[in-house]
Amino acid sequence: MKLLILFLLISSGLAKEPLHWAHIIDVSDKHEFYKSGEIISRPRDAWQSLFSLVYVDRNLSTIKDCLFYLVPGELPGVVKIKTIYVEEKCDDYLLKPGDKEIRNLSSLQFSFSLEKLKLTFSGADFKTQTWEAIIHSLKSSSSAQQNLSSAEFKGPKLIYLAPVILPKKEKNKIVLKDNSLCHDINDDCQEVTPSSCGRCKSSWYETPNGCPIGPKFCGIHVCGEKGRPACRRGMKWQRKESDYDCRTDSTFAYCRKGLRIECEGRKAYCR
Amino acid sequence: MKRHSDKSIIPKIVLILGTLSILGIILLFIRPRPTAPIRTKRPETLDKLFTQVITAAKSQILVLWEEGDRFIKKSGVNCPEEILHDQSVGRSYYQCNPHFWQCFWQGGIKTNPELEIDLFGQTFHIVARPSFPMIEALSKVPRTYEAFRETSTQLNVSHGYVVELEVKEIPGFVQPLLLTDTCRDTYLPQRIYGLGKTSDARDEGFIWDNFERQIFIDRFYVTNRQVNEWRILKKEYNKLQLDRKSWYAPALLSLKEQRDYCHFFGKRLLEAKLFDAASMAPADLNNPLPAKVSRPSTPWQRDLSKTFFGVARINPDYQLTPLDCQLAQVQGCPEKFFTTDSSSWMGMNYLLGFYSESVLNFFEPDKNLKVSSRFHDPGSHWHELGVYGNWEGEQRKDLPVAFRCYEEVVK
Repeated sequence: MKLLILFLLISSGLAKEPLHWAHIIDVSDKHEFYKSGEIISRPRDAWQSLFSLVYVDRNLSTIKDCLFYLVPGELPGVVKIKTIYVEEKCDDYLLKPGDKEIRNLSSLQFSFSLEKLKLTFSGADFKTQTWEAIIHSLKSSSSAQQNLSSAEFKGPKLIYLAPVILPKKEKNKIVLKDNSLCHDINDDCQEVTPSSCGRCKSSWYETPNGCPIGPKFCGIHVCGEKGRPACRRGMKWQRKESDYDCRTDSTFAYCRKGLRIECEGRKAYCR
Repeated sequence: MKRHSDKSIIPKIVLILGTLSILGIILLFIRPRPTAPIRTKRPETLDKLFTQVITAAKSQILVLWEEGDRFIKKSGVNCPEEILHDQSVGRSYYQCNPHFWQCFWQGGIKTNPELEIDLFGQTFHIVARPSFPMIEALSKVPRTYEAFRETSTQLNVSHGYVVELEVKEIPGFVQPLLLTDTCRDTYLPQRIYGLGKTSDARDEGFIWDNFERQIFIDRFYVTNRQVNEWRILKKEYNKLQLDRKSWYAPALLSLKEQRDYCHFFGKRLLEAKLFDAASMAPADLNNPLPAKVSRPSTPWQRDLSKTFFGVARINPDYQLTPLDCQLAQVQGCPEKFFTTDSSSWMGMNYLLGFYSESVLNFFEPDKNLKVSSRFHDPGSHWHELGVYGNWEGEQRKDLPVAFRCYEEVVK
């Protein structure tokens, strides 16, 4: 039996974790209830989505390995790995065949830290095996300061790519068209959706509305001209406290010499 | 009396010595002891060993990429297809420069190009793979890098270079990496700034602020090398600038092309107000909200009359000194590129003199050219901060116009 399990693991190429697990950039789709370090024992004989490991492939596509687990009960446990694009949902693949599977498991647990994820499982013979994923977060901790470059501010200087390639799909190419809203800030200065202006085809422009951060649209940055949004001038140069609503105080914006500011709600345009 | 005194001193000395000895012994026990270095176990599998060697090489890879100039000896380099070494080119040109990367791995810098890593008692040698297609117009050899530009990925990186590394002692494994351009631009601190000149000292003029904005400005003009890269990414091979001597020189594009170039990389053409902000040194760096915004006439001296510009305006026969040419390359100075001798307070180079520079000015759109250049004599009135002229947007032989980009990052 031992030999059979060993053979199954080796023959399916699953005696150890995939090579690209050394270059994980994020762990997402975490199971709502399972706790780090606890053996997963419920619900028996049901497939559960555990988490996904996000990485960047050789073609710079962001992809993820979704990990599913058939909790052992009447049936032996199974771990299933499905590789999909990061925009897709792991749950959509819960009951579909995986790309890789480890069968005949008796128990499984996983533990997280900021730098590492450990997946420990044992076979029918209770012999345990541990797989490790090394996490290199792309989130920049740098706060902007003198002499910092934009590249350092946005992320790490060097990004390890996984030496694998997932065929490119059109779905992974989400480019925002000109004049589409890429950073939604409402009139109460609250961020409705996070910025996706990095996906604009060319550049983006802001429509100043008196908020510290104004709403942004994809397109060429041209401001201050007739019929265009006013240019942002700031809200501290006045050296006074004010409610910078265009209708009451529009000094947060400016137009080209000779034009005047006209308000559309809180937003400033030039006429 | 004397005997009595001797008797009382000896026990005291014994007591003091005894106390010191006991204290010494206690200190000996509680002092921090040198611990044996934690030795990481050598991984049992080759793939994990490979990963650990590549990870350990990270700082060396970054030094080679970001500080390539440190590897260049006085004798120069030997890779004429990539770099024509010229003493008139400052060392900053070689930083984050893919042609330097190619030159190094082709053996143009040293005979055996490799990075050495000592790990687990063994020396490993890392090399870059020439696994990317050649760019026929530039060179007949495969490349060790490939420029990348994408706005659609989940990565917060729109531009960089993909490279592939191997470890000689662990064959069969390849590590692709993405190197980003950390040398290109620099941050404009958040504070109040002024645009242009004011008519008199009491006039505050046009002031503005960049609080809550993350603005990064190119340190140098956009070069022909960078424009070539843009053309390659757009597959416009017939428009490549093939004269290698021009690669470090500023690219001379039309206004439309300048804007297109910047937009392609998610950036924008520099604005006049940003040029002034980056070149006019604040009076008090520690106070971002000063009561009065200072507008110095030059990046290195507030009062123009105290500079060589001021002297040259009065004396048309003024003889330029080497220091003058370091501060501002004007007519009569030898041409130099990528000099950092006249960096501004926030790290921007090429300020007064050098080339005329195209800027956008949304407040006064006609004032869209920093005219001051190496084609103007030192006594020219254009050599002053806050002074702008007009540019129609097309290059002229008698007045070449350089440009640079800036990026506002939204996180």
